[in-house]
Amino acid sequence: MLKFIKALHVIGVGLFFGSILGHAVAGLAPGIHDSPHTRLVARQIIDVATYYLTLPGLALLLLTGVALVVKRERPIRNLAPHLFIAVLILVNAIFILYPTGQDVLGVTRDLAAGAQSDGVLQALEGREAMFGAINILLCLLAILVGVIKPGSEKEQS
Amino acid sequence: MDYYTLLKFGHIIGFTLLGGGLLAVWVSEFQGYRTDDMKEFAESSRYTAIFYDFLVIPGALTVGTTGFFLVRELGLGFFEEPWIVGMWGLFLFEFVEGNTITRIQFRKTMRRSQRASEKGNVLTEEIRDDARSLINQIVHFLDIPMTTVIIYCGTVRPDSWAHVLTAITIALCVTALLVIFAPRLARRGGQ
Repeated sequence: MLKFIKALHVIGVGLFFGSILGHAVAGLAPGIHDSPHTRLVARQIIDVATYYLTLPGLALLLLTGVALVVKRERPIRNLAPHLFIAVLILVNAIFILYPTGQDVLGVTRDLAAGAQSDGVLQALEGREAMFGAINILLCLLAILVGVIKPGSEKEQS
Repeated sequence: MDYYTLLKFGHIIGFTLLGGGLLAVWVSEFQGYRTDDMKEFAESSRYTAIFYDFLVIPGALTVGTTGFFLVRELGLGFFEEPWIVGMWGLFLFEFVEGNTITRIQFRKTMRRSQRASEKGNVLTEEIRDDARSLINQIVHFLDIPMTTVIIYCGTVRPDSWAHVLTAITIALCVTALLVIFAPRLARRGGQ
């Protein structure tokens, strides 16, 4: 049972962190600033990925993370820093990145429909890039903390 | 950080790049199936190519390299456990298939859709069929189920061939269902 929960936790990492990397690549793709239409397609891909991959991945990570803590008989090493980083990722994703992404999509749609750019998009994209980069670093740190198990044997890992 | 931990960290990062890339390809292709707009159709195929080149390939190379050294470091042997054979066997299959058939197919999709877009064509069923053939759909929809089997082998570590083969069979069935239903569902969602 524990192995299956662990497998789901790994799938959650792929869904959540993998899709965030996908967002980054889509947002930095060559030619994205060439036309409002190209930018809109990228934002639509990011939006669909957020709904179907990032948010379900985050939910799966949290649920399986809790299940792993509850089901395991031995205490999990490095659990406190891992949880702390997970909370930071959650807060950043839900309260900053998700609403900013929705705002960027809305402005991009307006631009593709012919509205004039007034610098709002640049400001929103700047915020998204900054907090997105923070989330990528936090995800890397969470994985690192999850992988490093001081004192444990290779076989146990 | 010791050598083993470094390899394990690299393996998970590689898996994340690979998995994230395949999922991103899935989403961009889904957008391609869903849209009625010719430009969007062509752009989706371009994003598919970008995700392959910037996420899937680096991820696959990282996973493959770290996986090879992990097996050696742990002294497991490449042919001794069904789950290890399942992992590297499926990975090798996916890697070769992805860089031959899939690459040829998605390049063809990109070329044809961009040519149609430049001509100012309206997106018709003929253009869709011309850009995305059946073989294209099969190799595309095979990626995620097979990757899931690789994850299953790596985390659950089944110790019998029956479990590994059952997982592969289920993955093939899921692929068949995706080939039949996913494009239709996407088209219905887009209308």
